[in-house]
Amino acid sequence: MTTPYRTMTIFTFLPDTAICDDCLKELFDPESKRYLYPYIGCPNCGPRYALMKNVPFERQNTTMADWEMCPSCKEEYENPQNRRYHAELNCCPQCGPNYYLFENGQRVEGEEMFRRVAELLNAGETLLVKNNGGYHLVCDAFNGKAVQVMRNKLGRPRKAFAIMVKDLEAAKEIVHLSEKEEEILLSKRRPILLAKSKNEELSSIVAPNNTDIGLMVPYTGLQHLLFHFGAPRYIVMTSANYPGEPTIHKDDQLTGLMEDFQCAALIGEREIERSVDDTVLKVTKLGAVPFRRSRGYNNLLDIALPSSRPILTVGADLKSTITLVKDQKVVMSHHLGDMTKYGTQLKFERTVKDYLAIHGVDLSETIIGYDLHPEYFTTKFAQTLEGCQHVAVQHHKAHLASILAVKNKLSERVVGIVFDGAGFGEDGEIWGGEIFVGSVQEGFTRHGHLRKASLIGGDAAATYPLQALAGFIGDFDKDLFERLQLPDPFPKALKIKEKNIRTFPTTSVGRLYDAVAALLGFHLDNSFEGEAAIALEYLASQSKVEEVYTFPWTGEELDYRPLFEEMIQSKLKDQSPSVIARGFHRSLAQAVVDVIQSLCEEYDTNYAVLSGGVFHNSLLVSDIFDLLEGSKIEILYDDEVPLGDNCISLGQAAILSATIIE
Amino acid sequence: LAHGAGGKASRRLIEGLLVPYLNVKELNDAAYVQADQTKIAFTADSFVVNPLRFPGGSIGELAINGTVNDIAMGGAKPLAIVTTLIIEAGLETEILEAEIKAMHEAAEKANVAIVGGDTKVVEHQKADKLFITTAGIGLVDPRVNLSASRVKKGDKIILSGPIGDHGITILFARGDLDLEADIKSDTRSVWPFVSKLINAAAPGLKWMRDPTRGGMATALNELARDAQVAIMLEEEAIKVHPEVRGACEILGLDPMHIANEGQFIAVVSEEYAQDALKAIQQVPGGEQAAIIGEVFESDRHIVLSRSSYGGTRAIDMLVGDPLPRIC
Ligand SMILES: [Fe+3]
Ligand SMILES: [Mg+2]
Ligand SMILES: [Zn+2]
Ligand SMILES: [Zn+2]
Repeated sequence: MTTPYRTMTIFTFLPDTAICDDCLKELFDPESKRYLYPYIGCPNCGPRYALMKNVPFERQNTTMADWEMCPSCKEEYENPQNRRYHAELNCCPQCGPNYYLFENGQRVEGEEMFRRVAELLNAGETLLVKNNGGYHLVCDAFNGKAVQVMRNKLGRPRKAFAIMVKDLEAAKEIVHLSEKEEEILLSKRRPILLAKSKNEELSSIVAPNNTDIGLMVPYTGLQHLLFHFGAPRYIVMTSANYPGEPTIHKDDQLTGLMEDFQCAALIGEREIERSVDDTVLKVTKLGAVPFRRSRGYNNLLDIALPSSRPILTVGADLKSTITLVKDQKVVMSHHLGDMTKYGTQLKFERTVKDYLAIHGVDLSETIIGYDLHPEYFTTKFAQTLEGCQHVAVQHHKAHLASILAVKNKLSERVVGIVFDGAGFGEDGEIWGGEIFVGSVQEGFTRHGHLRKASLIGGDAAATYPLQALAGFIGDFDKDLFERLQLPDPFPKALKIKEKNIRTFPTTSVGRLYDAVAALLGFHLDNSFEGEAAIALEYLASQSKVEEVYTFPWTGEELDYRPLFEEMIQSKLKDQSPSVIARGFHRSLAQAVVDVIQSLCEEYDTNYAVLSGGVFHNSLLVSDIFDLLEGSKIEILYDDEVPLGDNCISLGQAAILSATIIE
Repeated sequence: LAHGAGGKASRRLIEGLLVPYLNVKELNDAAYVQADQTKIAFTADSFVVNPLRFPGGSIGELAINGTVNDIAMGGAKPLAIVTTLIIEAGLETEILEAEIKAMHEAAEKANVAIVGGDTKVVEHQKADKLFITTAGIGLVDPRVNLSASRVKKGDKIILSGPIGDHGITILFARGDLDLEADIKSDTRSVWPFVSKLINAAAPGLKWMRDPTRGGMATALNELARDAQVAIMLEEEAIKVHPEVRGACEILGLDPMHIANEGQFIAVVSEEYAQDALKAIQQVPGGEQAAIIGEVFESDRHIVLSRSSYGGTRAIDMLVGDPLPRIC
């Protein structure tokens, strides 16, 4: 799907890629002048986007501009026969930057540095490590105490940590890997892969209540060297930031974290221009889909969007990206993060500025697209930009359009199902369980949705699954509640709903997941996005399908009332929560398939599209594919397009490109 | 017109429609009038609240304290108040009498005289039970010089006590909601605190505001904009009663957006900040006053709030009832 940069016709950012095999061989060859040199690289590998100050990718446009090549490096750079001919970041231990360990005010360098790092990690210490796109916090992944300290200090009680493993062999010992997953793990983009855990001990430490473990293999010379010198085979490698804030990438931002963690830092002298987080992806029947589309994905998309003017779109608000269309070419930014955080707002504004400047786009000629939600930071920001036209795009329509854009099916009529947490609807209500028919070109019509429930306390319902549950079953028979014995905030939420204070109508399937999780025993708060839903999938994965519940499609809405009634009856009969959770997944899948089949027939199409964060759930997706087997309906998907809100800016751009006629 | 909730929308209404026709230089709680040698603070405010009575107070008490506090925010000692009552036909006499009594008591407590007034009865449904307007004057302390333009980098933000009590009380009272037992309105006169503050730190005192509708977030955003500065708050220093915090969590609200009727914010130079703080804390009811943040320079005139973990949030003005946005 990606275009190799050599064949590009416009200057743009280049993706950061993993160290190549040739460089890796040299790294451990005592004869090589770059033996054990962390900044080894060549024209085929290494960071790009994270170091680029301008285009084209030439040394003077990167953070390597101030490092002068020694005669030997220069010779390689200028010799067309040498494999480092025009290696823009070319350097060696003689002339280039290096790493040092900063511990208690002391600088430790060379091999001693690596041995000390290994010693610290094996002793259960936490360490700050500079990688290509920013700093990471690192500790021994099997050391429960060390990981707990990290959780306490970051205020991250249960969210999974990604780990780095020494190599593929080490990976296979802790997770199940399909061939495709192995390939992805070792690909040049080198993402964090979420794979099915087979090590309960490790799961309980780094990813509690989770089917998967997120892991990656080394992608820089430095990371290979850490393991070479005896670091534990499994290390937590999580971006160095407080939740929602951008990752630290400048050395002078280190002091706060070093003090909080009382830890040493492995500092690299090469500067990073912009922080780029690791990409996180998972392989399901909908492809190798990124949750967080970031490092390795900062590339031109291999699609064309017709438009006589440039288009700039700013995405959603919690997992924002931006997309720029110029001369029909499409560039989509990396994941920018949570816009309630000031640091993220600055990162976002800077990215917009960079993209416009670097691609030579004049704002006054540009069509600006943003989400329909009036309170998104990105919406308010976009409205202040002095573009030539401003267009708001409905959230869930953007979800659908993103996939149709990469599949080059802008005029194809499809049935689209978008299930997510929340998006602002055209009627001013909070949508999230949407059923559309139409095409990007002719527009999508909302054909139906999940039956409206109550979002009690607005965003509070997304924090407290029990509160979400009250929004679904609040109108049920009162003595049912007594038998279910649901703790606070359930009864409190019922009262708020009854008085109709801060209670919004919603069609959110994200909240449906939370509600079912709460019914089946998840009474915690969502300490991170999707926690309850992930726990529910984990619970469901421990059973086979034994029960299926009624979840009828009326032609206008998916009615969840019989679904809850049957699940509650089953629960009151002491059925195992795992069986009910499994039954819920199958029932939702069946409902989706019923909708798709009836609408595909009614509107004479064979294409269906699924988008929204809910479809990250591999159990739900594989059930849908199983149930559709043998039918002629094709579900369109693509490895490049995130299902969550990272896709919104691309979808907005596709809709603007297809619908704006001058 | 949909400008009721305070914050951005009402700001737009005031600045866009009203200010161009009025002789107003700086938008403050009270205006100054020079009468020969004497500087007078002059203000008016209308009170509409549903329900009329709520835990900790009532509309009558609010009507006095609200105007007393606006005068105090001008650095002035409240002297006298006149009032207008608009009464919906059919309102029970006892209810009206109770509110007049509440006004009288609040005035006594605040040491201010109600010196006149007017009463109108309007047809049923042309008003909601009872509307009260009060106007008041106060004597400006000659030692104070309040203006957003004096606010500079390094100045400290002092908050007089816990926030959110009033707004949450009203919300619960309106719905008859008995979620949290112990929340009551904080309505009170803040002049006793301001008076001591002026004695202790007048030369360093630069700006004051009582964060009513739109809460602290709106007041501070207005300051940032008027003074062309940015503000960094320390989240942990801002006191919120646990009951109010609990209510906000379950309702998806930010205490910084909730109305207060008995608190104020003062900006004091660094030099005088500790003296100012001590002066407030020594008045009974001021024990929980705290320095909650500081002014810094930036070309973005924004309000930020930093917490020990959770990073730095941008605190926007309230736009009305906040909409859900978590995907
Ligand atoms: Fe979404
Ligand atoms: Mg006022
Ligand atoms: Zn290489
Ligand atoms: Zn060299």
